[in-house]
Amino acid sequence: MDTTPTMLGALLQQLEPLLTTTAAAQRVHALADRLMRTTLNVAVLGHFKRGKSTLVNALVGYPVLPMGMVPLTAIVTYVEAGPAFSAAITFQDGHTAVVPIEQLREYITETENPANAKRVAAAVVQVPTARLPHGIRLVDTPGIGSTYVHNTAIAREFVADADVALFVLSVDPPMSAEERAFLEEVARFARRLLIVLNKIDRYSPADVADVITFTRKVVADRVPACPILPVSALLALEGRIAGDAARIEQSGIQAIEQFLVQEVYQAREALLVSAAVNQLHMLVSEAEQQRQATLAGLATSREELTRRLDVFRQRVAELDVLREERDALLRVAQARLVDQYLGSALPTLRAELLALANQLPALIMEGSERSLRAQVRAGGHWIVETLRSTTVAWMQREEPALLDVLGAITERYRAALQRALDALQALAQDVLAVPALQVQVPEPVPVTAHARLQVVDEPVMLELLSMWLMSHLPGRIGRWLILWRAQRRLEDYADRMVGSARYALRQWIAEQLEERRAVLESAVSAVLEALT
Amino acid sequence: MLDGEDAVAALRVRLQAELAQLEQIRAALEGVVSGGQQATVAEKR
Repeated sequence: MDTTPTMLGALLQQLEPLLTTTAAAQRVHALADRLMRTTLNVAVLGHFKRGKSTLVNALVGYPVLPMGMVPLTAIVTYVEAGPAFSAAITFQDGHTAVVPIEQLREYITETENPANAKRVAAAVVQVPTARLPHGIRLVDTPGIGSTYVHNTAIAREFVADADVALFVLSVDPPMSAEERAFLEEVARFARRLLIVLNKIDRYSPADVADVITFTRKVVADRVPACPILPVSALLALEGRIAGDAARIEQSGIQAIEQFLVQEVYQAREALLVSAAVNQLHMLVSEAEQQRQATLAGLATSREELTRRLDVFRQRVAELDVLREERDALLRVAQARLVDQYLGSALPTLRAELLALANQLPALIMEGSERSLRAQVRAGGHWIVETLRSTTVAWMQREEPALLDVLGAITERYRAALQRALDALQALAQDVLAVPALQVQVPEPVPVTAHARLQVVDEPVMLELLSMWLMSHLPGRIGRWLILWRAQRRLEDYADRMVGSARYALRQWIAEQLEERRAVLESAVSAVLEALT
Repeated sequence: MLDGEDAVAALRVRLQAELAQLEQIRAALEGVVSGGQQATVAEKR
């Protein structure tokens, strides 16, 4: 009988009292438990909205986990084979409650348990399925990179418990810098790694092949041998529910199932031993570094320690000053965008609106004497409605280009923040021997709200109606005069619309940038909180 | 009660003892790893 797991378990026990953080102690405890039960954590990790929960559902063949369009999973959820459907919720105070499976979403989703107000530590779901071998637990994790910073924190914390990882990407958008950094972090812990390229049903085989080539290139230097398997988790789940072999075949899920059986299940003991050895090495090194740093601190004079602390405090204060500089730069970029972009774009809107005047003669010049009053009324209404809808449509057409510019501005801002944070963390490491946190500034999610055009109703119609009196002038002269006045009114109204559009887009730009700024600065606050 | 210097000396002794324990764990870990490798080689033979 192989005693290696037993020996490693004993070493973990010896190490436990030497650990200084609760998180590390919990990691050791959980690992010892997995070794004892020969149960592997197969973690499903990735950016939000990549279809992680759908993939877990597809692999067990039932829609047990909630799936959705918005970032949904907020709590680490273990899914394993069991005698019947059940859900056990473990709370942070240590107590556990068994709830009907239909109530699972009340505990694990951001929508029904916002910011984890219910203080849930984890959920364990059992599914009566033969698809998942005993000894393997699929672990659904919250997505990283959404506006819910706490979701990212939970996912990152879980990485150390991932013996095997299914790293989920989607065809569009392709792998981002943040995903690549997260993958590197995952690769430090996971003993087997599989990249799952999800949502292939939405794209052509050629597009999927391109994205696989791109992904392979992006990860080549870090995890060169990592397999990349394309899949449509949704198609697979639909196929499983409907018992439709063609859809299952088309989904690509069988290759992942094969990976789980051949590369994971059959090697699970060796993988667990490898995970335990890896964790023990890291934890021993961390514990040693911490003692050595304290010993070095004891050798340093109190004056020297005070001096170093002063340097550190000064840098933290500088970061606050830099924050003001960053804000100022952002305001300048915003003003430039409003001036330059809107300065060149708004004349095109004005021209488009003025061109509508060409349609006025047909509305006013034709028709009988008796219909003139109705025509004038309809003409006034037409000016208001057409100019307004044309302006709204124009604004919507302009939004994507503006979002690109906003994205470029935010990226510069994000890069500046990342540099400041890296510098501060490096300093904390040098001066205070605090281990580097390697915090990544998140990429903000584009806000999807549209610019809102607000127009005070103009009395165009009334003014035109007052002109109806002119219709009593002989022949077509009255109509000519009405047309001439209507054209002037249209021009005035076009100018007002351009002004309203300028105001609406300006407000929208400011809101977009503020939203992004808030997400980015929250990363700085998190680092400062952790360091001070 | 220990004065400041005694407390520092006691802490230093404790930290060194803990480092020695960690070193032992590391050595035992190396032993488990190479033992496991030897067992695997033997199995293959």
